[in-house]
Amino acid sequence: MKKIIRLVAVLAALTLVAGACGSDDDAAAPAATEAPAATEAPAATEAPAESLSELNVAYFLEWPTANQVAQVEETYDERLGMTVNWLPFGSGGDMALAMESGDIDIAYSQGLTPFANFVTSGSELEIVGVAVSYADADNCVAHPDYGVTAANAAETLAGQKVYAPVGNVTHYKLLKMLGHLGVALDSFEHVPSDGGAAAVAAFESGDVAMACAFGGGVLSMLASGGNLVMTGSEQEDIGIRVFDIISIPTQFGIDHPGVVETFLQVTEEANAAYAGGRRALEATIADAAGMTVEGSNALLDMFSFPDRATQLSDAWLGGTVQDVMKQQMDFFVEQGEIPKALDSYDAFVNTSFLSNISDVEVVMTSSGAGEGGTVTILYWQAASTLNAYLSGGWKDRDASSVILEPLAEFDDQGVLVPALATEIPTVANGGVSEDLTSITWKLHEGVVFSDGTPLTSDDVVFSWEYCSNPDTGCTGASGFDGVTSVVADDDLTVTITFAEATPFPYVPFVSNSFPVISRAQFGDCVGAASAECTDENFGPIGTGPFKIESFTTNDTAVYVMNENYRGVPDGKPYFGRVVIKGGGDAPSTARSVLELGEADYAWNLQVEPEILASMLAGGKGKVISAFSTMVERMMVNQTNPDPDLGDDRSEWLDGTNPHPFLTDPVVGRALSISLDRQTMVDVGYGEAGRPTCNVWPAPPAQTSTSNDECLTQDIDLANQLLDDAGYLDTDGDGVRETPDGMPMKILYQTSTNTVRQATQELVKQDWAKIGVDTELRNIDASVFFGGDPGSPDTYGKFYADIEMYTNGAAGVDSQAYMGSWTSSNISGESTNWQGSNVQRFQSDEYDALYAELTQTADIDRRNEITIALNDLVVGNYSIIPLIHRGSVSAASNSLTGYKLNPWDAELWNLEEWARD
Amino acid sequence: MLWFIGRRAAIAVPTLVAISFIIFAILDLAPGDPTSHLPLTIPREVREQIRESMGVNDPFLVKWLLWVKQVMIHEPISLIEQLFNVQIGSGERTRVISWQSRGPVVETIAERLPQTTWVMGLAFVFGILIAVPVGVISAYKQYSVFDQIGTFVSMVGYSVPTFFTGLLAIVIFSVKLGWFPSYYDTTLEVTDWSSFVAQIKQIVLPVGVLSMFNAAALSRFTRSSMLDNLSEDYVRTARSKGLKEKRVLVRHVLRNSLIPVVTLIALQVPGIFAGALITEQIFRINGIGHLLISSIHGGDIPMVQTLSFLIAALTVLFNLVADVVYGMLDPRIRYD
Repeated sequence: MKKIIRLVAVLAALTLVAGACGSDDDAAAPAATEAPAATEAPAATEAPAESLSELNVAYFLEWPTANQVAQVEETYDERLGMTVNWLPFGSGGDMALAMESGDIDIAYSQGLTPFANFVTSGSELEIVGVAVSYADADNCVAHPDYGVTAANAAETLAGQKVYAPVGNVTHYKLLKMLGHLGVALDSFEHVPSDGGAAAVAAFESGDVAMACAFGGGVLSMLASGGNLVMTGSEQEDIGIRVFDIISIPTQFGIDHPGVVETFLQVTEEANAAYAGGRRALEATIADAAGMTVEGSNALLDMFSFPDRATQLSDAWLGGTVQDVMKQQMDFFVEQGEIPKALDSYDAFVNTSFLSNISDVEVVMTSSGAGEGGTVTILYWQAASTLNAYLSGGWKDRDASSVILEPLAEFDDQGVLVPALATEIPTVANGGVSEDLTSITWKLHEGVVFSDGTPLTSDDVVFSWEYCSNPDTGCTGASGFDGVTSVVADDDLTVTITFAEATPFPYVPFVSNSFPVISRAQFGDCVGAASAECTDENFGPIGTGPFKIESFTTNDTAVYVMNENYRGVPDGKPYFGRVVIKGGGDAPSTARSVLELGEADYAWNLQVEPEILASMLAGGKGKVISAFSTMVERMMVNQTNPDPDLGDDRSEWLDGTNPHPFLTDPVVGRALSISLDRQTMVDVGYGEAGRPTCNVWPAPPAQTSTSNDECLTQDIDLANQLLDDAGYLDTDGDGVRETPDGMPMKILYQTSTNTVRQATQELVKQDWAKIGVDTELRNIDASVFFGGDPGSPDTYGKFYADIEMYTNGAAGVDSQAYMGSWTSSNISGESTNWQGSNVQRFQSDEYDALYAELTQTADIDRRNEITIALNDLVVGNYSIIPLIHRGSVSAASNSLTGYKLNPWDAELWNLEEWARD
Repeated sequence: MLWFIGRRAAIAVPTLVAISFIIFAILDLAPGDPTSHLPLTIPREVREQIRESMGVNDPFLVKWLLWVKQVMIHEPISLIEQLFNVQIGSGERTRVISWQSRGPVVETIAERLPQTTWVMGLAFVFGILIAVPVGVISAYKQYSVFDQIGTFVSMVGYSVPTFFTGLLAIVIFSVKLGWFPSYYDTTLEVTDWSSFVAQIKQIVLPVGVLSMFNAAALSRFTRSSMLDNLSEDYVRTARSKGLKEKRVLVRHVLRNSLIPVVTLIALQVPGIFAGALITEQIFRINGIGHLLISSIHGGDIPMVQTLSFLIAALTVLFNLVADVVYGMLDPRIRYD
């Protein structure tokens, strides 16, 4: 038996040597790994190798490392000429025990602390390499409710619970960090945990002020709103290093030095391949780690795998590792965790193996960025300009978002995510001042514009100067309302100051409507000059994943990858070229994607549901929809629009001119519950709509449920209500009269649009059933939504009883939008009919609640107030919500990565788009 | 003749000024607002700022005079500058700026013109090539099967609008058969054989649909004009002289019959530049018609005004051309 194994081993070694020595001239270098074992010291290595038929290596699951590619591809097995068994372990301590018992020959990525603990108590193990360094992946996360930061840790942690494991590096880091921050270790309650899911659960329950964990645990806690008390690099600055090692039983190294060296060499090569380009390896690593690619990548982002030369330097095995072990053990002695530490840990680091292997040159492989070809996106309304500040149209903002980026944007769930900023400033992390009057953003380091010039905070300042200049005609000007100054504190820090407390400061430079433009490019385009800067407006230089190749206004924009985009090393964007083709109409663009497969994506498909369904049968693509706060609603005039009143028609006049019957909530309720909203959806909206009874319909935490009565049509109840309130048909003409004898006739206007006219017809039929006569009217959209004070037909003048249109908030925050219906915004002649309170709603309670909203920072309270405001304006029936409108788009079957975003630009994550 | 042309050209100037006033007045006084297409989330004060920066609120006469100056003086100079790459004067002059794109209107139009002339021009040429022979044969063999079919097809072609035939063509040739793309890729550059084939493929449907439409009307005119002439005395004379039938038909009848047809063709030429509103929209060709419609939708009045004026100017010009050509074809007609 042994003879056979020996034969195989020798054959394998020969094969390897032969393979490596393909050419005699350069045989020396590549042969270095195996050759010494086979030739120079045959007596020492080959004889014991006889006894080794397979190698047992310990590793961690859910701990992605670069060498897992070699593990999966069995490179180790091939090069060692033996089977390598990879055995997953739960902890570094278990690995040490297994090495002591001889079950494990090499432990890859063992924690330093358990290793040090074991050797301190007499285990004969040694470190032969550094596996992975990860300062950020092992950390303590503060719960947002407790507001713990580096500055105030001593006060905020006093008496609170801190969840952390015991006796490992996480514990060590916690203690070192708190020592540095001056927190007395007996001032808080240390709850022992395992640092994994339990810590996350405790954190999410809100029970603990801070929880410490490693790997995915840290990410989950950060994702649920936590903040790091100290970042990994800050901790490294105060000498806290966190890394895993490669360790072996000392005897194994003596018996099989060649095996250890080959193992290290293969690992070195795998690390070099990883350093040369991660993208192609991600899936393999994730698979081996037993994780999703996203999860694995999130961890890999925080990992680094030092190469041989670095490991041998003073920063690691040249001395620091030994010192760190000594420090840690001394620290645990101090804390009373262990009885004593050794005087020196130098004996437990053996660099002889690492010294014997050869360096591997890192060859940068292409990250794959820009190699996905062209993606064709259809917008039936073509982009007119690529400068989002000069057009409020969503089509233009979307086309601009491909190039320009804001500091932060909203993701498809309406959650704020950093773009050019490193993180979202909050009161908890000190980015928003306590008095809510200023917000400080930090920019990513090293971001450059597509022309190679660096992005600095001065560009942010300039973007504000540009848009806030009244002569620029900036459509985003309202986003900077209340901003008194934007100041560059240093090259990467910018502070925005507001005139008054601003509980929701995430408007300026948040979302793709307010991107950062370059001072170098737009410097001469401020004010009236903005219109003459055609070249700039049609070809802005930005920091986003693409730059413009050619732009024909109102037609086509062609972009190519921006080589300077910061995601390029990670293989983003996938596509090298983007074509946004404009023109046609919604059905024809839908057909191109769904039926013909000519294009990849079609925007905003306002297509009749049945037509869309028939196109879907083409099978080339799918329809996606998303909902923000857009609601098709009826505005119910609270003032009297009677033409006989002359100039006083539809004027508020301090409440002396009420509508004859529409101010009565009973009438409003009857009108609302008599409507069949589901049929309206089926006829006109399909996927793009759902019935709603709220004017603020999303997200769930801000959605009222107290108005849901209107979701079911109830003609009988509506009739009953009107009968009881004295609205009776006294003259038998089928139309009810008010108690004053005025017939209930309603003039119902909206803009000209087939869906709206269909809805009008349905409403007219429903209302006829409750004895209300409806006269329908439609007005061309350009007049209806226009601001011409001379036209009697604008929605602001509201010379009708009821009018219908869609509106919603510009972002996720309700404040600005809810402010539309305060008394001070009542539309009328005095404001040139520019007031946003077009239904002339007046409620002191509403005004007071709104005033409170503008002063409230607490999220829960803001949600409560939003719901209350919604209920007031809806409960009074000055607004009758009908349809919660979503946007509908179509994507070809092969396209991946798109996330329809109702809260921000539709192309917000174009860098993530890919093709199967 | 020269005197006539000169006189007509002189009259054209006040005509154009009057036209410019009418176009400007109609569009400017029409209700509407350039900011009405913006999302309602943009507050009204900001809208007012935008209108102010566009100069919407200036007095009517000021706006008109400025516009006339820009369109008739500034823009042609800018065009010459661009074409010949020279600078005239300081180069500083206000231009007609689009409200939608905030870029010069004329540059956008210049960008669109090639597509329109390419598609419309081809459709025009093919239309004539189809219409004249069909009209001639139909007339010569009046009430024959060919005439009946020709009449039927041209009636259908003339009475069925292009937005219907266009969609029908897409449904049949793009969706069902998959022969041609349903939209016109404006970024396609003809560099080799395959891109040339792609260009031909994408142009087939729109040109086909438009040629059909053009040919339908023209063939009817040719036919009736031919019929008028076929019964003339000089035709009988020619035949009695023993001329070959082909010669009678081509040299005598056709030549005379073409006089009204040529006039008609000349009057249709401005259409080549004006584009086909509906067809361009259906096939997503980024031509002038497409531009006009999107500008109307977007409330982009300077663009609409300039385009309308351009079309009006071309119509005046080709009316003059038609008159001149008429005179040249028919020696009996003398204008002076």
